[in-house]
Amino acid sequence: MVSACIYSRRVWRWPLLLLLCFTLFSPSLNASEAPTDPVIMRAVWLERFTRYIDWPGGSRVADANTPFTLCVWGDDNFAKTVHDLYQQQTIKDKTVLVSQRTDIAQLQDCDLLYLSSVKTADLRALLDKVRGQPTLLVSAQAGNAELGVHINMYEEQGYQRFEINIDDVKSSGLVIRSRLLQVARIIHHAGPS
Amino acid sequence: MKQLHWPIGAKLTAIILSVSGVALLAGLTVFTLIQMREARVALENSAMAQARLMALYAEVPLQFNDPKAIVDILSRTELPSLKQATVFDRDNKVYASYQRIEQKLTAIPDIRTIVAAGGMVVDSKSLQIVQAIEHEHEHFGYLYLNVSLDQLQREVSQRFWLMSGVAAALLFLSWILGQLLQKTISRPILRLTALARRIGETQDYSARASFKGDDEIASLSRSFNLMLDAIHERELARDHAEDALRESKKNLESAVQELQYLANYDSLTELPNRALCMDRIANAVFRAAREQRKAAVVFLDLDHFKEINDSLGHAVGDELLKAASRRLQSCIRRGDTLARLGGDEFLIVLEDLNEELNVVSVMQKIIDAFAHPFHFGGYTVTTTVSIGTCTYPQDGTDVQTLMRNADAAMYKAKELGRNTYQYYQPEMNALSLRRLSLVNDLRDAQHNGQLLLHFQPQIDSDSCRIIGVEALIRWQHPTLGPISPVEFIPVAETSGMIVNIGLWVINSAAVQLAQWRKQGYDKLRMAINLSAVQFRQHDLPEQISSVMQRFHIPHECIELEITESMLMRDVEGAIVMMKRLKSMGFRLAIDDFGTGYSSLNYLRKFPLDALKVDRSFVDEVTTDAEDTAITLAILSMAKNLRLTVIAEGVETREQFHFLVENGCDEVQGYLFSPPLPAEQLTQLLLTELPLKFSSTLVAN
Repeated sequence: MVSACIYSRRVWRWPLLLLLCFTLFSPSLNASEAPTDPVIMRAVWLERFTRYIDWPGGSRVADANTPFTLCVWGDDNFAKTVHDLYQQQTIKDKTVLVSQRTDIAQLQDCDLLYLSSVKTADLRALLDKVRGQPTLLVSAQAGNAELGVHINMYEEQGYQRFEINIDDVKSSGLVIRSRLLQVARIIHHAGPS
Repeated sequence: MKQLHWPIGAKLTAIILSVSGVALLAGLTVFTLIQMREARVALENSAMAQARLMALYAEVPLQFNDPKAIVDILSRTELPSLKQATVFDRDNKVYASYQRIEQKLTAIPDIRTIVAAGGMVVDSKSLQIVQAIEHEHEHFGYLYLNVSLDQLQREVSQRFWLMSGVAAALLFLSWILGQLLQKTISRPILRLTALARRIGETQDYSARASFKGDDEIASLSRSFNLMLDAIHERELARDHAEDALRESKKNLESAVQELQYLANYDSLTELPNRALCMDRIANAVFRAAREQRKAAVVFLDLDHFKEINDSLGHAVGDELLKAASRRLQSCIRRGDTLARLGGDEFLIVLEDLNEELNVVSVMQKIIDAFAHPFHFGGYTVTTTVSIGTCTYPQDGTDVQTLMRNADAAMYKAKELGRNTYQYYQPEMNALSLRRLSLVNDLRDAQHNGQLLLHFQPQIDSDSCRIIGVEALIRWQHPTLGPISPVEFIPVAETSGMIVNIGLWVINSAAVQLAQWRKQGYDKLRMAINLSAVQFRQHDLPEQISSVMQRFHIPHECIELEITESMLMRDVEGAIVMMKRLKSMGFRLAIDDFGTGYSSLNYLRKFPLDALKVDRSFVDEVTTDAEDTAITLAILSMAKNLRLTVIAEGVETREQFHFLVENGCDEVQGYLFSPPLPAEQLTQLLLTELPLKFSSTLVAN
């Protein structure tokens, strides 16, 4: 029989740590460092997702001369966090261009699109708009994965988790490595795409 | 250190087992070490691979803060000996850990020391590995694995014991193989050993070792057989050598016995010889002295043996000696000694004598035994014995004296006419001494002019004239007076002086004849007697011829007289010698004809001119019928052979008339003249020529 023993931080320490993060580490947040704040963690994880995802040849990501365009839909705070985080960081060895988007028609150049605070109806329209294009769709809202978001982060028992809609990832032309799938919850597209 | 006396088979088995055991032990040890090393390396490689894989798998959960997933990864490890797996975060704090429940919980070490050690630390109990969890040079933490080596050691131990069992089985197999192999090696060697022992015990070197193949043992067996061949040959050679040595020793012993026999016995008659005879006399004297008894020494000699030997040859003479010895042996007792001293001389030693009559009877017995003739080889030989005897102690007390006195007595018997015996008388020694002195004196007589020639006329029966003279030697001894040739000629013959004396006679006769020839008597014939020794000289014809030529005497004026016995000894040689003499012109006559054993057949072969009838026939030619018959037969035979006949010893007119009437050509004797010195004969030649012989004859 195997028994698991998980060393976890005490819950009462979270506020203190959060405070420390904002006061001490925010200005110099690094994607490679272990994040403690859920927002920062999500921002950091964006880059980590890209490590195990390959963009198709001929896409912008494959072009070394173009920056990696990280688009954020809605939520100015998260956009700012991402912007701050990736000012000095690279994704796929490329400089990162963080761009906040609000126009559904201006999503063609996004290599990664983080959907924050999107209504379901808008989400559908947005998903329809980027369907088939090699843009990694990431969100942190329950149910988004089933709708068509490629990677959807969620919290479980105090731990940040993520789920992957493997069907839509496939249809977008992106390739997710199995090692990433190893720790993710696999979701299939609900209903006709 | 005490030496082990193991049989070779046990030694070979021990060697095989030792070698196999050491090899197996070494193999087992090396194998075990290799196994342990390989197992450890395999475990290390496996653990490292697992660590790398687990680190790889832990990378994503660690990035996405998923300790549960990490524990799940750790729990699914394929390392059965894993005791503990722990993931450390980038701050080296334990992030997630997994431990097998059956494994003893161990304290988590400081992973930095392990990282500093190259990522792996191995001790006797465990293997500790630390693997970095990284992605594209970004470090996320470490994976720590603690692997127990118990299982590995158990497996290695199991393999060790398994291999030990296999080794034991192999050792047992080696023992069985050793037993089989050592038999193939030790059995032939043991057979060789047994063979060598058997040969040593029985000394039978003909045995050989059997062998097969061509290996070292076969080579050893072959060499062993070669050695046996050599020993066998040496043994055979030694046996042969021993046989030869034995034979040689036997021959030597036989030769020694023969030598001893020859030293003591006469080979012809097998009687004791002089040396043993003297020993027997000495023993007889010793016993007689001790027992106060008498002993006699009898010396005997065969009468006329020399003539028999000369006329009939040595073979007949030897047969006569052997027959005589047998007759003598029959005349004496078993304990008495009969010995042959040499020639025809025998000696008898008689012991245990009480009366002299005993000796007389023995001697008379011997005389009687020789009364009968001997028959052998177609010959009938008559001989008698002359015997002399002396007795111990009155005639001598030592061997030499007894022998000398007996010898003297025997000579006395001979002087008394032979065929008789004589006891020793003290005066007999004088005779022996006389013989000895004669030998010494004769050597000087020739040079001192004591030897003389007298000449006796030979008369022609018809004319009564001297037609020849016979030279006769005389010895005028300065103290003993005239000595008869009958006495000194045998002495000259036995001493070897006869050759020189004979030559002197020839030379002197030639000198005298030469003188007479100068005085006109050139027809006068000189008769010279030749001795047997002279006749055997090869250069005799040349010697006589040389002398005659020196004095210019024709050879036909010399008549050489030879006795019958000289001719009969070697008939063929005599014929050759006579022919040589005859071819030179010398006349040849047989002297003393009738006394020997001449065969008429031989007589024809001899180139003779004359026969001289022996005086013994002439003596009684008118009174004894037998002598008359013999003389007539000789005269008749001579006429048939056309030989001149001369009669010796004519002393009476009756004899002369008888001879003349029966055709005797010439006569010689005292009736006409005794032998005279040369001067007197010269006078006779001067005064009586030619007719006065007849008147003298008439006057006598």
